[in-house]
Amino acid sequence: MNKTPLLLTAICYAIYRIISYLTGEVWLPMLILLIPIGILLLNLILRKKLTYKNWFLSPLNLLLERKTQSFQSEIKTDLLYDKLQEVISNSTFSLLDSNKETLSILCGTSVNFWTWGENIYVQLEETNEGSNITITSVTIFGNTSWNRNQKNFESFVDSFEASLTI
Amino acid sequence: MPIVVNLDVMLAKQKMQLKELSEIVGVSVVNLSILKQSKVKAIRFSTLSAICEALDCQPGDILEYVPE
Repeated sequence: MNKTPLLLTAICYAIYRIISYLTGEVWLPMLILLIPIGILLLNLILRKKLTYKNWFLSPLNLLLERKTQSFQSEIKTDLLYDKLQEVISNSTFSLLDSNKETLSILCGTSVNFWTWGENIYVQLEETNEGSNITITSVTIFGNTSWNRNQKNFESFVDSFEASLTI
Repeated sequence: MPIVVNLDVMLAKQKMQLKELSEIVGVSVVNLSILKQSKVKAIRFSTLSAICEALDCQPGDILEYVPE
């Protein structure tokens, strides 16, 4: 069972009671709690579409931590696009959205006790030698990923390298 | 890479499509396309033997060493 929502509800209720007790107000602590919860819910709704990529990747979105890294492949983008979708399907990531015209792929990690999950944006670019693959891992909520963004990148590269043994 | 994969030549000899080979061998079309372009890191003996069986050929017919 996923305990995170339950835990968050319990923590929020405790904070609400403390602020309410200290200030004697009802609406002020409720508003303080509703804003981050609202942002979390919004992010959870928007995370599954590439359309909202800019929202998650914008440096102005200070509530999220993102890490961008690149690596090269000899495979051309049109073939690599299909290959990466296959790699994602066979890995721990789940394929959320993709766009062949822009050569963009969106995949994500699942929610568990420790994290609300991360979105992984994959962008392909054609080069003379093959392709350049840019991976941006971004948290769904929270400005620290506790190194999960780096681990996502390493896991993605490992899955891709392993898939090149046929 | 000095190893050249002549899969397309063998497919043409057997008059077989990549999709057909994919179904027989159990390897995706994407992976066979990458193999055809010699962009894979390694090929398993099980995959190689399945391809040889499907195309009725020897490993040497598919893989060729061409010095750079």
